[in-house]
Amino acid sequence: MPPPSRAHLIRAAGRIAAQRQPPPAAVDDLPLASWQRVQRCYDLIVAAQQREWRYAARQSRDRLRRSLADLRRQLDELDGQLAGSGPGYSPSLRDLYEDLAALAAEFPDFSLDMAQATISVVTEPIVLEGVDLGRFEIELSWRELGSRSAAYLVRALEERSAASDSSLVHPHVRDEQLCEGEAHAAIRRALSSGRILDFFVIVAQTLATYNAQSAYLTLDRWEGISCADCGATTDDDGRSSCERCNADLCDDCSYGCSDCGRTACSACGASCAECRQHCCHSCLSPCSICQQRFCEGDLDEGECAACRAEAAAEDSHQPLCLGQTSLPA
Amino acid sequence: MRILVINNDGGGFADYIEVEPGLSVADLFRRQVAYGQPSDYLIRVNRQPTPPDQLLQEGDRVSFTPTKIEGA
Repeated sequence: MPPPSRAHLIRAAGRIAAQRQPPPAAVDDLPLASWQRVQRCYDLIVAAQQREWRYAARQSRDRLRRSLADLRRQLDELDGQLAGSGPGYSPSLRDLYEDLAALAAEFPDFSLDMAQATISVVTEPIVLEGVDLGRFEIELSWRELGSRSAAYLVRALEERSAASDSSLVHPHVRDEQLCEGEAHAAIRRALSSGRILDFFVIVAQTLATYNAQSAYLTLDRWEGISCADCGATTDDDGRSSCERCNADLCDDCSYGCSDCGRTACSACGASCAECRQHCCHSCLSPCSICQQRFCEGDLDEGECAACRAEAAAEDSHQPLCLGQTSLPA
Repeated sequence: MRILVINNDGGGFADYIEVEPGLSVADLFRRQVAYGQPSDYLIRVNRQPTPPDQLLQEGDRVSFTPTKIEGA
């Protein structure tokens, strides 16, 4: 698509200037609700650790990190509002035009849709940790500038979504919405002060950065999840975890312990030597004679059925008392 | 002289400030970005990438944008 002409850029700048609202002077409330979420997640971790629920503790830790990131964003935003509470920067028509002209030079593809009131740019192909996610289109609606709702969308131009979830096209983009993280306050501030170029650059830099700690899905699972037992690739729907070591398992390798019911991988469980049922190691006990491992139901007073039978057979051939012997009738 | 400074790190900042003539981009960076390294930022003057030793002029628009911004 040919780049928009100078006249086109000037017309768009005029429309954006007419649409812009002065940035709100008031500051947000303190993020008390977010702080309470952080406190709840922390309490859950403590409870899970006390009960030795490792999986629950790990899940709660992930949730706490997300809540902390959310709190940090809101604090940054509040700080930004306080820092910019003076008259600050307000772009002139020329500033808006120069932002648009710089966008046309900065990105491989740039377009204006006057009817829809949108500006779109296309990024270079984004490769994170060796995973090629392709190019992304960032589309900003200038009618939404200054609003607190999402004024922009992020679309993948190539079909390289996660194997387990087609709505995930980037570790930080789901359903065309960027989970802004550290960029949140800077994006809001760029939009509210009409800095169009800065907005697109911030979003593009965020797309080019990978944060494994709070991604929707980590890149090592992008193409699917490798089963710890058989090595087969599976998606999130067919995945379960060993409740002992948290290893990922596919459906076929996901066995519950026949005693306690918990899922155990092959490293954390084994088959009972008698009934061949899968059990976790902590539900298997050694026979005191043969030392093979059995489930609880197949041991009697610490001995397996075979050893008990053998002992009984030997007993039947032993003399009843010293100096006596059994005689045929 | 008066310049526009934009810092897209953290909470974001954009405002006019007074600086002395002869100030370089690197000097301004050290004042505005307390803990960062210039190599970790896209530094632009009047929307164009610029070397750190460039001297600032009246009315310049200077922006600092981190190269790595972590989404959530």
